[in-house]
Amino acid sequence: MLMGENDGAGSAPVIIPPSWEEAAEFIAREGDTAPPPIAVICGPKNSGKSTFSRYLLNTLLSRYKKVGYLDTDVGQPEFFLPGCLSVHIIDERISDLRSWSLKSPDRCCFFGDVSSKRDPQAYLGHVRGLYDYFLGEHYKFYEKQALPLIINTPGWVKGTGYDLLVEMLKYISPTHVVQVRISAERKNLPKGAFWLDGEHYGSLHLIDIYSARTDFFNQSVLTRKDAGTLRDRRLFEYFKLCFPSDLDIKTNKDLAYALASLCPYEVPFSRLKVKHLHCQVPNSEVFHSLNATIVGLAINSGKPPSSFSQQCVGLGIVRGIDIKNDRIYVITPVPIHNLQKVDLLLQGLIEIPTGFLQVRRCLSPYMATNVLHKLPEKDE
Amino acid sequence: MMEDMVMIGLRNEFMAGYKLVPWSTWGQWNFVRESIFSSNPESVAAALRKVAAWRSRGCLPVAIDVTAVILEIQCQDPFFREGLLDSALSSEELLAMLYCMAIVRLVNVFVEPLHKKTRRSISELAEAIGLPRALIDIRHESSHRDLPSLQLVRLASVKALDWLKSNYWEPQRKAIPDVRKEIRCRLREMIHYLKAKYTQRMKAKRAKRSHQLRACGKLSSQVTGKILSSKAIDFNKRISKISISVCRVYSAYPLDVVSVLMEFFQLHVSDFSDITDKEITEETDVCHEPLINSMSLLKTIITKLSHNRPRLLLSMLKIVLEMIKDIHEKGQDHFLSPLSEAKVCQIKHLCSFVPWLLMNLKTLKDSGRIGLTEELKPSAGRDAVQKVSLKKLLRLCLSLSAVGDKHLSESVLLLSDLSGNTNLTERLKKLPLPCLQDQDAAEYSCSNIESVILQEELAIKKATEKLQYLKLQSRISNVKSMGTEDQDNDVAKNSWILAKSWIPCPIGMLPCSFSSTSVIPVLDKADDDCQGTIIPENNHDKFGKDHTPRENHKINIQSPDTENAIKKLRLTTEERLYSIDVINPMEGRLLIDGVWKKVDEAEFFAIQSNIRTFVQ
Repeated sequence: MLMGENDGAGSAPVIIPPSWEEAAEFIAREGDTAPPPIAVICGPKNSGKSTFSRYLLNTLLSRYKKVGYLDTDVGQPEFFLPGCLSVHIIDERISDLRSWSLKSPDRCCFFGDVSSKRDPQAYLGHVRGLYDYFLGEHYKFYEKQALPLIINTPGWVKGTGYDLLVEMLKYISPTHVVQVRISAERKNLPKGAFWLDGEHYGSLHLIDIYSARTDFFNQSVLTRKDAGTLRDRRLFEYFKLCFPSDLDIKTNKDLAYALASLCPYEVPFSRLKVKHLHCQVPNSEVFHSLNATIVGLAINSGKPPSSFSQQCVGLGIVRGIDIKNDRIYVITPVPIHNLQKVDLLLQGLIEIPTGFLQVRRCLSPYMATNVLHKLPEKDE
Repeated sequence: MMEDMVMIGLRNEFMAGYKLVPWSTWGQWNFVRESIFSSNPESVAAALRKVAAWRSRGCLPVAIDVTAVILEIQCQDPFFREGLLDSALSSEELLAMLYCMAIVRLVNVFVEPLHKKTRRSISELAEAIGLPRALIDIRHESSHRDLPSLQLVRLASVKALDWLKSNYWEPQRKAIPDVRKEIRCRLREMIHYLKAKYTQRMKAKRAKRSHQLRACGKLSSQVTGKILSSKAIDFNKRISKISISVCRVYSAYPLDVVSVLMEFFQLHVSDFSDITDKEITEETDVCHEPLINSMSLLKTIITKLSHNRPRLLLSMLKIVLEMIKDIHEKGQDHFLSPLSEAKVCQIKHLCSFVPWLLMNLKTLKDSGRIGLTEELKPSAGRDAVQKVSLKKLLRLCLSLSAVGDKHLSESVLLLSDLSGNTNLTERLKKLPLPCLQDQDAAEYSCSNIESVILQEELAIKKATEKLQYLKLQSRISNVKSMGTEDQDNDVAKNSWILAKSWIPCPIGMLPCSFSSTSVIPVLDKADDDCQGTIIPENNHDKFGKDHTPRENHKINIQSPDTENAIKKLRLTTEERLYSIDVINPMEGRLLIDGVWKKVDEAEFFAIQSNIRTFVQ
């Protein structure tokens, strides 16, 4: 399930400064004497959090067979899809630190938007739920089965983003916090254990590292990415998994055609519940809202639908709805045996890439011409 | 001018200009436009509900968003909605705040991007886009000073709506591409050239003839001949060019092309004088004529188009059959009053069209341009020749042959022939298809009374045999349906399964099982509680596994006049063998003494024995 895809970091070689190496080594060594480390990587966006976390992952893998990875960045997730928070158990080194690769998660939650600001409470609920899951399943150190955990955080470190980070750190109480700092001081997080009220440091290790790439004047060079394109790219790679790998799908058009032709899964709609994560949709309009959108396929299993952290097995495209026959048609790479428990569709605001809908002979009705998006200017 | 724009839009259809929108048809957009500004609170509420659904899809144009927000606030304001005092907000402060927020958003959404780009002041930019000054002031005051009064912002909300109307809703309404108009225009063009070509050929023929007669002026006739032939090539070129462009439009809007073609067909049908394929007269003036004056012309067009897009034939078939079904079903709703003359005529015409379409389909199949199979297997790959399932088409044709048109029965046989299943063809031939009966009727009309009686006896015997057969079949099916199927059904009904068959169709649409015309599904819930209203699935999907019927066979025997009920016994039952999708209101009923009565199996057998006594 490994797919290489350059994520736009450019062709610049990955530089791992000695300070990064030291930091990673330090964290990895820690587990020799104490329980495996739980390391949170934080810092402003584009500072190199991802690169460091990948490097740390590789370093840890030289000591541990498996390493846990909790991804809380819903905008630019490390191994899974936008809008999702996920726990991965990784047993394979990442060969190219620059590239993004899709890995199926050990457990996943669908938050449904690319920024936590849409629903901070739900977001925190997901983080807590997944962290608890990891502790319960993979951190039983009395049974000598404990795995180290790397936690990747979003680069939103001001305002609500900061508040959320503080909440997260308080709940997790990690063994190591790695702050990636950049030269523009005011964009950085406060120094020290900013989430604690001064006292109990305990076994906490604080590590500051500096952004790897700097220019002539020692100013950090941030790697800017086009977030929207990147997200579409990930969805592209994900839905490509619906097809055998020998099927030649290179362009959006190839995929769009393949998706339109693919025999979808069908399920009685009456069996499913639908939850709109960030919008109120009148009951009478549910189908209008769902048709041709991306949804999270979740397992409700008796929980009240209002609770957080329904396990999500993956994303799907609602490709058609047949009300008369009580059928909903879904395209998803999730294997059919994993689908059987799915009884909840989560609709968020993860927009379907237009590239999926636009192909000769199979143009989706949701693509229209002559759409007015600019207002006429009377003057000028 | 407008039309030019549309043309350009369509010609560059896959270059650019396509945007993701939350509505699946412009009709839906129009519905919202009309109802959102309506004075009827219920219409407004319906429009707001639709906008809420659009909002959840994520690609809602801001103008719609803001319009909906303002209207939603107005719905809470007793000033605008006197009747709805219960749900109204009583706090003026809250209302004022809501209005202010909406206006702030409106101004920011439309002015801020320009402001960032040009660095000109907000008020300057607002003036440039015609945004009322009052709105700008309210934005400023509510952000930096005291909250403006409710009276002020309420008035401003009306102004804001007016501005949105004239700057978004109206211009967008005018900009909606009219695909059908465009298609009509191109088809008209095509007809024009086809006619011109025909006229020219006639002229050329006549020139040749006169040339032969006179056998002189060799040089001049050679010249004219050359000119004519060069022109002819030109016409052909144009025709094929237009047909390619229509095909391209067909790829994007199959439904529209097909229904415009049907429009032409209807136009032709409504003209009674033109029933036979009349040849085009030479001196006709194209511009002042009806769109099409010959069936053959329409057929030429369809043949040309289907050469490039073989599935067009299936789309046409689908629409024709659906129309027949529609008219027929409407007639059945009040079955005692017969269909009107015009309707009968229309059905007749539609029916006669079916075999022709099928013959064409056969030609295409034989030339390998389209694959036809009895059963469609889902496949993930892309096939060069798309395969089409004939099963459902056949089933629909069969069910419609109850209409009693021989063309349709002919089509059924044609279809089974196409599917290549000889077994099926044999079985179908056993069926009392109306075409066979018509022959019977024709025979005894011209013979004496004795032979009539003989004929009748024969017919009754045949009917008895068929009834016997039916009885047997229904028993078998009863036994079978009690078996394993229910369990199968339960499991299948409640789990995720791979769809049983699939035809490539755009995301957001559903495939039609026997043509390439995908349909936009109806997404309106009939009732708030959908589970309650869902029509139980008929198990036609199961049909493909074997050909034995599994439903209870209720017998449907129709008779046009009760006195001779037995003589003209017409069985339309065997079609149930193929578990037809059509729900027949006459099912299980017999016309006895002018009244349709429900007949159970026992009564049915009683009737059967009566028939026997009659024969003896």
